[in-house]
This record gives sequence, structure tokens and C-alpha cells, in this order.
Amino acid sequence: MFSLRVPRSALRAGPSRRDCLRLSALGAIGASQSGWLQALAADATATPKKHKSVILLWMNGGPATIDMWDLKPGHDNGGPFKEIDTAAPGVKFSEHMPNLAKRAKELAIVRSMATREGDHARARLVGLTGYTPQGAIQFPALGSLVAHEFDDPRADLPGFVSVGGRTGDIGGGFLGPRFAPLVVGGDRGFGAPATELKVPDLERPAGVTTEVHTKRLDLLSGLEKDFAPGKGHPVAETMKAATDRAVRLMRPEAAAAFRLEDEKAAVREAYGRGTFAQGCLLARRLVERGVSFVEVTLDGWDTHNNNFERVKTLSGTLDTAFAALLADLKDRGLLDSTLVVCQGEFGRTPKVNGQTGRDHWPTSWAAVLAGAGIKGGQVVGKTSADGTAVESEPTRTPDLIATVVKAIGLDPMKQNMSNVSRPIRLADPVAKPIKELL
Amino acid sequence: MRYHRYLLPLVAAVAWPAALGAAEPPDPAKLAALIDGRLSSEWQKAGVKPAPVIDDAAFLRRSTLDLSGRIPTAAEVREFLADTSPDKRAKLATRLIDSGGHTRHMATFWRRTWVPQADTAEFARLADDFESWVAARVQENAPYDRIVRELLTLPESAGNRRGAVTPVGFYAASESKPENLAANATRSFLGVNLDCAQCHNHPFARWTRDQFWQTAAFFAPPTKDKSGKAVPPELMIPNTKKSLAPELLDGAEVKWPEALASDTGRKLLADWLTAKDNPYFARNAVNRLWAHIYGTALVEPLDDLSGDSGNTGYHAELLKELADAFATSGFDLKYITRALVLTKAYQLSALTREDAPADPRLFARMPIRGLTGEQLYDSLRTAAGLPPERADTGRGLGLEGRKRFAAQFRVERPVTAERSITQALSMMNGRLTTDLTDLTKNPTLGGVASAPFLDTRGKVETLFLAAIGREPTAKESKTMIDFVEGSTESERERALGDVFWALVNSTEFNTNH
Repeated sequence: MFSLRVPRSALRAGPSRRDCLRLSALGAIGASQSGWLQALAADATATPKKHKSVILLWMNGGPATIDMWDLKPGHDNGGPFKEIDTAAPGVKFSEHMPNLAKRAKELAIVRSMATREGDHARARLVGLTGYTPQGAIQFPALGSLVAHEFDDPRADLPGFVSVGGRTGDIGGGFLGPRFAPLVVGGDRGFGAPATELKVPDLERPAGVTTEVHTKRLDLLSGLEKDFAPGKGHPVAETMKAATDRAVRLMRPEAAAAFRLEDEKAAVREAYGRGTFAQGCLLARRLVERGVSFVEVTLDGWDTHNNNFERVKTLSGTLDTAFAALLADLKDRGLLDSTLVVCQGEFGRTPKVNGQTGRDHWPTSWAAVLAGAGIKGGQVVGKTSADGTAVESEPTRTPDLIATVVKAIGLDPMKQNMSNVSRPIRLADPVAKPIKELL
Repeated sequence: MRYHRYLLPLVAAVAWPAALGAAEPPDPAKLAALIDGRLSSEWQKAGVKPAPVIDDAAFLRRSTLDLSGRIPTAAEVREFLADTSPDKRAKLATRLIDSGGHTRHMATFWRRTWVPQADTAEFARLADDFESWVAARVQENAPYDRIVRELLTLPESAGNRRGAVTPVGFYAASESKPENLAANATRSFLGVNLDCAQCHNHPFARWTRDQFWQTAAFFAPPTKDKSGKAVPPELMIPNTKKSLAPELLDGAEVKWPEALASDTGRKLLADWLTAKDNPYFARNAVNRLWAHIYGTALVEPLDDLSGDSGNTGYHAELLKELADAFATSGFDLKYITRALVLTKAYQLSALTREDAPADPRLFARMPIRGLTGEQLYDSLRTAAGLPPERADTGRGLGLEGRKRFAAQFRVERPVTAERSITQALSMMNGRLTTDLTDLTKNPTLGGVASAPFLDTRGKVETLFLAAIGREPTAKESKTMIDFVEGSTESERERALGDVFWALVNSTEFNTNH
């Protein structure tokens, strides 16, 4: 069973009763009827819900999985990278992922991803939601679906956090903004310098004491109480919910989750120093505190030119951080309850183009899973000798989504009511979970 | 003769919609009445009671936000509430539509519709020049068809002249590629979504890949035949051997002139696209304006009038009537905007407690909408008594703060606006709000704090009027007065800043309702 190894005090879902009494004595709460902090105090004894979590390592741009997880040595399409043996008998990776090779017994490589969308935006939408866009249905991101299933309204931290930037277009969908991700790490500009992994404006401005802050919130809650209380005001609900969660996140106990400087230097070094690497460390800290879905983006995989140089560098970044994440989760007893998925929106053309690059290729590519009881040390599916076709166990996005959903103990066929009053299942009903992995 | 006495009113009633165009100049009130008639018959059919009509303060705030892009000032609220003339709402609409704020607000609206790419980092540099160009056109109330025509047929050299105000951003945002231009032009000006047909036949609509490339071919320059004569261009579909000449989406014949210039194709496409009888052109404009004013469009999705709902949807018929009136008016944007806000439907409450009329397609109550980044920024400054940081037509200089803020609080569509935790934190703890709770940086606050003629009640009331455009309720007033007067003498001024902080962080401030 999932057990939390951080002290209970760091997980309290509200300020201590003593804090409250003290603030009350200061007149900070006074005669208020609806102060935020009072509402939080009432939950002070709540314990975080116990559930499994997902960390999605999103390789944005479409990684050349033929140069990472499914090499074709000796073939014209194969490229210059060498294959190396891994800790799992018969399983081979690229030479640029030596650390992951050592942990291959934990990894399941699905080499038979066969999808249809070759456009970044559409493929990202399908990859992150599990559904092909259909008319007006606003499909939520998988992260939102999971956050919704494991929702604990009393939790300090949001259920879905996205680290390292993300395009803001795939969020809570029909589940609403409450389940949209908290985005940490700012913009994900191409070639932009690594952004600090901070929640912007989490700290109170200079001069605003706890007491002033409390008074302000009390005034605000009075104003909020009577505004748009009827049903069906989604925009008002999103405003109120965002303020509510922001207030809770500001509490020192919650804000501490984002303080990477609290980690030992050796731990930080083990992951690597870039945004993605530190994002993986942050993901571990968040999962540890009950966040149910964390997405960490590594951008730059759209390698239409100079593919091999770029994939080599990116593989190195991924290798160090992903391997450190697995080790760290394992050390803390969290790997059994945390599913790590590594994928992009599609793969890249087996045939190398004129700019030593590879182009978009959804027809045959690979995804990798580990943790949460996934059977590691194995490869599922097979591509042809030239890498252009899937020869066995073709796996589509809904199948992968259903596998993820099942691995964390949810029913892929569970339905939510959508914005068009049509029930939508967690995973597309055509999905078949990958039986070899579960 | 008795026979005629009965017949005449009947004829007039039947001929009414058609007569709209015959009248000179077109009367927006008549069109507004037509809208109200159509909507109320839908309410009857659905057995729905519309939400109550809003009070003056709510009407002033809503229409100022919709038409001028900011909240009203405290002085404007006081003046409007004191005005006793029966037609003051109609007069207000006229005044707002003729204001400089409207020019700038609509320039942003049309820019966002036509060049949405300028909201991304990659093309952000295009926004200022393009908006300046639109603002100049809106200010002179140029006919909508002429604006679009001018945009599409822009001389190629126009973008090269330094300092020229041109719509070249439309081409730049599409990287001047025929395929990008085809997708952007059909989406922007026709509400026809061709994008997916670029690579394959569209899965949900009827457009084919051939039609996509035939449309794109209009943007390609003519080619030369063997004798060196310029002939209409052909475009090759990438990764195929198929080459296609320009063809119009409705299959109408393209009449190429004898001599071809480099932009002949664009001009021919613009002729067809902006024609009065193009079934999509006027409908797309009206549908988008409707969505701007009422939150939800008459026909959704906004980007695809060619889908099933475009012709047979809930309000497809009303949209057609409005589009016809718009075309007949000579594509007069101010006329159609005025008609949309002169309706009774525009005055329906968003805050009704009754749950019944929630189906947004009925327009039986106004949806609560999120403020756009620009509206929020300008409204914060207005609440603080600062002048709007923008010129109505000139280039945006020194507006970096506004731009950064607007990008951070960008909403895709106000009616489905989402507020993230990050944005909420910025409103609570960010630099702008922090500055605005400072008496030395917030003229409203500074003035209120130092006004000897105002008691605490008056001070609180002024802050409410400045920020949320209404007087406080008795309960709110008491809470705020108790709070301010409960502070020590030295903390009084800071306490007023705290009241301002609470007001601008409220959902009421952050939404249009």
C-alpha cells in the first residue's frame, strides 16, 4: 500500500488550530462569517487521499524513437548510433541512454505505437487526451481526468501540475478549469533559456504581513459570497476556484513543495541541472505530497534537421533525469504507486532526410512505461527491419491511455458527463489496455 | 376599400425584414426589434422565461466593457445614475460606439480574429502595426468589405516602407505561404475551416484537399507559359504529382483578365470573398460580432459556418437575416454593432439566481464572461483613476507593461475564460496589484484617503463605484466601514488600500456580467 514518508506536519491540509486562534485574537479573523482561513482550519485534520500517481515525461516535438528505443543497426534508416545491452536480457537501447539501460528491468518499451495524426497540435491533443477532436466536445487532458478521479477538495496542492511550460490549449476541458494544470516554469520558447521552476507570485509582496493578508482575504470572501451563486456560471466558478486554490497554495506548508533548494545538493546533481531535470525532481516532490498527475516537458524533439546531434544531446538529458527519477522514487518507496510514462506526440521518419533530419512519423514509434506495477524488463510489439511499419501488437493512443488509467487503479470505461451532455469514458471505448504490461 | 384596410398592415408585416434594407439610413433600432422578436419566439417554444433586465449601473458597466474595453470611471457611474432621460441606454451605446476607446478595443478584436498568431511569441511583433491599421479603418467607419478587400489586395511593396501603417501583418503571420494564407483567409473572413483539408479530405466537413490547394493557388503569383506570357498559377500538392489551378470554393467561374499582374489571383479571390452574395462573408462577420457582444455566437463553432449547424442550426435563420441587413447597409460595422446592443436581450441579467434559462443557445440570460487581458489591464488602471495607457490610433509605444499583462491574462474566448492559479496569484501578489494598493501610485486611493469632505462611508462608496461600478449593499458598506474604522489611525490609509485590493480581486471585478 502506498505510504507517505514525509512528516505529517508537512501535509496538513490547513493551518493549525493554534495559528487560527492566534490570528483570531489579533482580530485578523474577527467577526467574519466566511473567512478562507477559517474554512481551511476546519479541514486541519484531513489526511491526503491515498492513491496512485502519474508522472508524464512529455517529449515535445516528436522524439526520434528509432534513435532511442528501437534502433535499426545495419539498415540504411538506422543512423549512426550504436545499440547497447541493458540490464534486461535481450532488450537493447541507444548508446546515449546508459543510465536507463542499467534500469531496464523497470522499463517496459512499447515499440508498436501506431497512430494517425502527424500534425504537432492535433497529435499533441490526441496524445494528451486520448481522443481525436470531435466537433464541440472539449476533451480534458489525461492529467485533468486523473486529477478529477482522485480529487481531494481539501488538498493544498492542485491535482494536476505541469512543469517546464506547456501550450495552454489542453486543460480541464469539460471537467472545468478546476482540473486544469498548475503551470510551473513559464514559457517554453524554442531555444529560450531555462526558466526557473518557481510558482510565480507565490509569495506575498513585501510589507504584507500575515495579519494584513488575512484581513484582505476576509474582506474578499465577503464580496465573493453573494456573487453569482446560482448554477451554471462556469466563468465565475473558475475565478473563485482559482483564488481559493491560490490562497491555499500560499500557505507555507503547501508552498514548501516547490522549494527545490530544500533538497540535498547531491540529489539535485543526480537529476542534472537543467529545467527538465529539476522538473523531474519537482515531480517526485509533488507526487510525494499527493499530487496525482505531474507532466514534465522536454522540448526540442522536432528534429527536421541535424537529428543525430540533437537527439544525442536530448537523450543525455532524458537519460540522466529519468534514471535519477526512477532511483529516487524507488528509494522512497514510491515507485510501486507512481507510474512514469515517457512519450511524445509521434515518432520520426525512419528514412533520413536531406538535412540529416527526420520528419514527422506517427505510423510506428515507441513509448516507455515504468512503475505502478507495470511489468518492466520487456519489449512489447515489433517494427519492421526498416522501422517503417508495426509488425505486431499495434498500439494506438487510446490503448496506451487505457493502460495508464488501469495501471493506477481506475476503470477506463468509467464515464464523465461532457459539455455536450454526452457521457465520455476515461479512455475511448475502442481501447484495449496492453495486457502484457498489467 | 374595406378590403385594403385589412390587407395593408399584413403586407407591411410580411415585407418588414426586406424593408430593412430599403430604409435610408438603416435603422439599428428596427433590426434590434427583429432580434428580440426572433429570440422571444424561441423562448416561447422552449417554455423559458428570460432573465430579468439589469439595472443602470450593471448596464453601464457591461456596455462600457463590451464597447470600449474598460470599466466606467466612478464619475461616469455617478453621471449615468443621475441621468433621468428615458433613452439614456441607447444614447450611451451611441456615445460608446463613437468613442476612441471603441476604436482601439475593436482594433484588438479584429486583429485577434484575423491574425490570432500575433498572440504568440513568434509573431507578437506584428500586433501593433496591424492594430493601428485596423483602428484607423474603424475610426473612419470604413465599410467592412472594403477593409477586408484592402487587407487581401495590399500592394506587395506596402510592407517595405518604413513607418507605413499597413495590414501586411496578415501576410507576415502566414509567412506569405499560399497554403497558410488560404487557411487563414477562409477561417477569418468566411468562417470556413479548411485547415484539415490541407493534408487530407476534411473528416467532418465537405471540403476536399483539392479545394484547399485550389484556394491556396489564388495566393501564388502567375507563371509564364512557353511563349513567355503570364498565365494563371498552378500549385503542386506537396508529396504528390498533382498540380491545381485556382478554383473558388463554390465552383463559380474565375474570370481571368487578359493581362495578369502578380496579385491578380489575390484580387479575384477578394472579389468573390467580399461580394454581397457570398453566403459566408457577411454571416461570418455578424456571427463573430454577436459572439463578442453576447458571449456565445449565433452559430457555433465560430470557425466553421460550413458545418451542419451553419445552415440548419438553432439560429441559422436569424444569422442570415442579420447578415443580409449588414450587407444591405453597405457593411456598416457601427450600424450592426448598435443594433446588437439596442436589443432587450442585451439587457438581460447574467446574475439571475434562477437556473432555468441556462442553455446558452437561447440567449435568455447573459453569460458571465471573463475579461480579456487588455480589458483587465485597462480596467485596473481605470479603477485606480489612471488614464488608459494607449493611443486610439497611433502605434503602441511604451506599452510593454500592458502587453505583458495582456499576454499573461490572455483568454481564448471570454465566455469560456479560465482563470489559472498562477493568474490568481498574480492578481493577489503581483507587481501591478501591489502598486495599485499604494496610495502614492493610485490616484483614486490617494484622492479618497485625503478627501476631507468624505466620511468613511463616502470613501468606501467611492472605491466601490471606481472598481465595480456600483454602490455597496448595506451589509458590504457596514463590513468595510467597520474594518476601516477598526484600524488604528496610522493604519487607516493602508486599510483603504486593503479594501481596494479586495475589490479588484473579486470575481465581480474580473468578469463582465
